[in-house]
Amino acid sequence: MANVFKVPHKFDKSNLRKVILEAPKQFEEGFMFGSNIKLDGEFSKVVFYGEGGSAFPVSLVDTLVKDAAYKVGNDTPRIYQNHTYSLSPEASKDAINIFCSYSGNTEETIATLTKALEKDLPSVVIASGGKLEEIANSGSTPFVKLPVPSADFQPRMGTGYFVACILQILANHGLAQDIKEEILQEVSKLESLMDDYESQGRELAEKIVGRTPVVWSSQRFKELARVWTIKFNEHAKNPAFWNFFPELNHNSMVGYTHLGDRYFAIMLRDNDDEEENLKRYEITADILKGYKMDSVVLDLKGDNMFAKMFSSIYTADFTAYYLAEKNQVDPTPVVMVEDFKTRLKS
Amino acid sequence: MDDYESQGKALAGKITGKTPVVWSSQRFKELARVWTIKFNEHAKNPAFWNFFPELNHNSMVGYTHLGDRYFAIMLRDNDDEEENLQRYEITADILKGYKMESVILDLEGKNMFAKMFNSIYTADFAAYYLAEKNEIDPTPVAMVEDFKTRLKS
Repeated sequence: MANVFKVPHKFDKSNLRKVILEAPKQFEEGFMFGSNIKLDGEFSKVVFYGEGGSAFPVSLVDTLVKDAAYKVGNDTPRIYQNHTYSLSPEASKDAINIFCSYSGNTEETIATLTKALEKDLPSVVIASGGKLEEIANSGSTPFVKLPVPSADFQPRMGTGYFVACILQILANHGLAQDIKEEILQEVSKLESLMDDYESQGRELAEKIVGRTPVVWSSQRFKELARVWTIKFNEHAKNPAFWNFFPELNHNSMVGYTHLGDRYFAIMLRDNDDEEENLKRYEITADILKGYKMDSVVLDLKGDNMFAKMFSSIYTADFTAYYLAEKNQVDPTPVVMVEDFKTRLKS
Repeated sequence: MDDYESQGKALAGKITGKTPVVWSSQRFKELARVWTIKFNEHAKNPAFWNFFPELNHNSMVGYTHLGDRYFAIMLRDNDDEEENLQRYEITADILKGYKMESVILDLEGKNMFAKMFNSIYTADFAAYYLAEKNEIDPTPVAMVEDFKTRLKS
């Protein structure tokens, strides 16, 4: 039963809360968007181009398909990510080059797509419109048109569309296993638990306020940890950083000898992790407490990688959403980024 | 090495009491990360890294709050793409409006190795003198040793 008494907080002018609550619905549509995309030829790898909210879904896809391949003993798919203005050496003819930009107007992605088409590289464009749509439609580049569900819809909130669409495209080319059914089964469970993620997030935001959260996981979940920090940066306009065990115990941790009280560690623990690694969470928390740094250990919930990942992402969304309230800021617009883009063009 | 030492010492003076964040192009991101390790281990100070242009799309906006607790060290490679090079000054200027100070350090040298290690030795000295400001011995990493002992017990 949805909690109908809850309303957006007073700084949330565009109802980001509703966007978060409806996010799980994106997967089903996303798989459909990818269903017709099939390039002729044999491909051994995929190169992705994009930035920010149009890039981190690729990192999540990478984590999901490598996990799926590992479980059945397959070779892991070769996935590369490029965040620059130039093509990288991986961009050869046996690669599918996928250009992602929610707005379709990201200048880095326009630059790389233009260069790829000049070299006649196999390419796919995923965008809601903009210049990328124009370029794709002016030739014969396969194009996926993403929806814009609301006027202020933010690229970072379209993760379900991107993830499902990209998974489908990879599966169409035999570059990754088809995990659509497994995902769609999990989606309905996630939808039924959104209230829990909201209360957990709200509580967590209380603990973080006035500090910088640092989000830690195992190496396998490091892209999840990174996505948490993006939510804090963009929803709450708060600094946030990520790292992973056991590596952080060898260097990063010692940094909190000074200024530890300005930080708050959120440790995402996967109980299927290696036993030696699992021992590190509580000890790290305890040691840092001695340096005035507080922390919380959150166990990842779910029976598979997808469930663990997205139950945690929605918790992150709500945590950052309520931290925005504490920071007295609207969680939707990213004023500094828009200001930056304007100045870059002038 | 004398130049690196004086540059590092001057830089440490600016960072004291703050958390340095070290930014570069994607090509030099491992160099940026090494800077943070030096700050963590020599100076026992938090430090984080990121790279252009990606950081302009998300991480940067985080400094809307608490920006005054951070200091950005931007490692600029003048052989980088022109579009990317334009980002350094604008980013510095925007962050100044949020009380976040920064410095741009041009990577010196004719090749990747020279640029990398000139910068690493500067990082070593910056972290070394930040340890002095933090009133701490730059060599031992007590917390890591403590951790290892407790992990074994």
